[in-house]
Amino acid sequence: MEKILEVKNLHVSFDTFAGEVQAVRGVDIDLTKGETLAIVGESGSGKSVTSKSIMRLIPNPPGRIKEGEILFEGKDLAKYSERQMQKVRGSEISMIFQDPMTSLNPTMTIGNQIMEGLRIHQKMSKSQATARAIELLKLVGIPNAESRLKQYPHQFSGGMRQRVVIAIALACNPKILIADEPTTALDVTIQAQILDLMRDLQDKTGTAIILITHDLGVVANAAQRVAVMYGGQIVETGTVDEIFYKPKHPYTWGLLASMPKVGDSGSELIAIPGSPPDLSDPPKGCPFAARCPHAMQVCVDHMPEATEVSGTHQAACWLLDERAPKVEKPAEATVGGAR
Amino acid sequence: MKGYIFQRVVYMVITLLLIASATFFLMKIMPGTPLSNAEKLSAEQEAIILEKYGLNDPVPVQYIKYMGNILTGDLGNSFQFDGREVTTLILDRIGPSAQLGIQAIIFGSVLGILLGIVSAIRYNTIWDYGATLIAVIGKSIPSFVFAALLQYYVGVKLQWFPVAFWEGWEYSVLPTIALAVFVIAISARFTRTEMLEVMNQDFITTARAKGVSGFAVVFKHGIRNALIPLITIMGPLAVGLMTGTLVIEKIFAVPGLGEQFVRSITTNDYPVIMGTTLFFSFFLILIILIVDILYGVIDPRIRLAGGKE
Repeated sequence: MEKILEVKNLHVSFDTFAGEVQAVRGVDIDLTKGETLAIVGESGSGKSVTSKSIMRLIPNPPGRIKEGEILFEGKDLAKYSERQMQKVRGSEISMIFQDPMTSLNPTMTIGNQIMEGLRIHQKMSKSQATARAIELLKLVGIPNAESRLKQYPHQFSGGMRQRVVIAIALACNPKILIADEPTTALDVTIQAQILDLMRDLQDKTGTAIILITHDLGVVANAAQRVAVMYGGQIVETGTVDEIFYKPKHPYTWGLLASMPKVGDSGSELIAIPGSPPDLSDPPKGCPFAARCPHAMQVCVDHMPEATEVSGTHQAACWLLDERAPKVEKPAEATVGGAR
Repeated sequence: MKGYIFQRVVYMVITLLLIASATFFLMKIMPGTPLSNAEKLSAEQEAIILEKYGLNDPVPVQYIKYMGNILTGDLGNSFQFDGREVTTLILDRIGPSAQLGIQAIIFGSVLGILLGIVSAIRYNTIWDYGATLIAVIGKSIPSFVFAALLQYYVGVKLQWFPVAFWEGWEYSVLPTIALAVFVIAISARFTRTEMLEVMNQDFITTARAKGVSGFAVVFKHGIRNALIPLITIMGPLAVGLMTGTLVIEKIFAVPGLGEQFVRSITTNDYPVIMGTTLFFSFFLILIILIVDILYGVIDPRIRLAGGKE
């Protein structure tokens, strides 16, 4: 399996008036050709910052990549100049964003927005680009592509706009598509359509996808592998089955337990007590220790190393150490309902 | 679109009639008569003159006469300027005022917008502070101070441009700059604020994620979305400048409309006051209409009903 992207020990910080906020603290990610990797975590866990860093879209100042490598096909994007990055963005790595209502330029026709990337990267003529744009709109399932091309974003519904955003991202056949919460702003029926569309397009184009989400339902539907982020670090990675059925990290347990279960309408939703760590003054031990029901002294003092559970499954938790007491996954931490 | 413009024109006419009526009665409340500054007249002479100009009629009768006249396009004759027609008076004087205004608006807004863009994309750097400083100076120091400084340094010391009068294009340079300072300041400030907001929008990130260069992001995606509020303030500002600015016209001895308007008020020159007010109003309403149409051109979301959907 050929690795297309390897992020190694990525540190991203923001310099604010209150001091340095370490949003991402040593993240390792790898991505194989054609696969979908989901990055899950709550707000502020650093998942969006990680994805924007890969595109080098973190505004600088205040943000900066402090340390680490972003190896795309062996070349370190972290060292690329802005001009070099412009050649990568949109042609090799594309991105789709959370809110389709705001991620399209309101004063530019849909057609021009799709064609822009084609004309920059593939130096297409206007008529070539138009033809390709029509083809793309059809591909993402927008009817009457020819006439829709001349319309503006406000003439599209939310779901249709997200299709346009996907068409823009896929215009130049990128090798990696980063989808930053692509369905969060859409209603549930449309969410399913968009996820189906993305999976469909992945089958056709072989694009690798990094799917950022906080919705485990989306993960189950769309991804093969999952990385769970917390406090700017990846606390557990594994295949979807491993994360859903054999999770090892108490934070993953909490995430699974907090998922509403199908057919369980009477009971209250379970929340993880406490709040995420303040990343302007990150804890020196495990970031989850303060909220973890199984925390030990060592958790507060030392950051656990990632422990191999299986060839594809790793978790960074002291409970996996041989000296730790045996703690079983709580009963609530299961995938609810039909999968 | 045609229907919309027609509708707007009808409203324009109604607005103008209302303005004419309001101005007419306000003017009648002003103390004094057109004759109070004239050479000493005997009571008899005064009565004859007032009678001749219809100023002895009851105010409602005068009003109906006047409104009847303006509906036929007759703004009457001036009491002071050798009885010349008000229309000719305005047309003679509007040229220099409009030229100065247009030049100042174009020069000022182009420079101001560029300055605003620079400070927005170089936010919180020395560039931003510099541009903001220029804007603050331009906004807080009155234009007549600039006018005097320009006259002394550029006109007298350097002798690059004539200090005053109106005998060719070069005579318009200094007054244009003096007027433009304010325009630069205002448009720089607005552009900066708007650009800062627009450049933080998601679609700018989308554009960057497509691989669009920084320059193209600003000029293709940014500016157009930042222009709406700018046009909103620039329209009325343009009217104000084009219809004459008393102070600048006075300082540079420009035979413009602003200077004459003020004189007509101090001398109770009723027809000129009315005529100029109507002219200003007409111009302002026209510019507002143009601005409204421009909104639609710039932002398709405001494109007017009846356009092709």
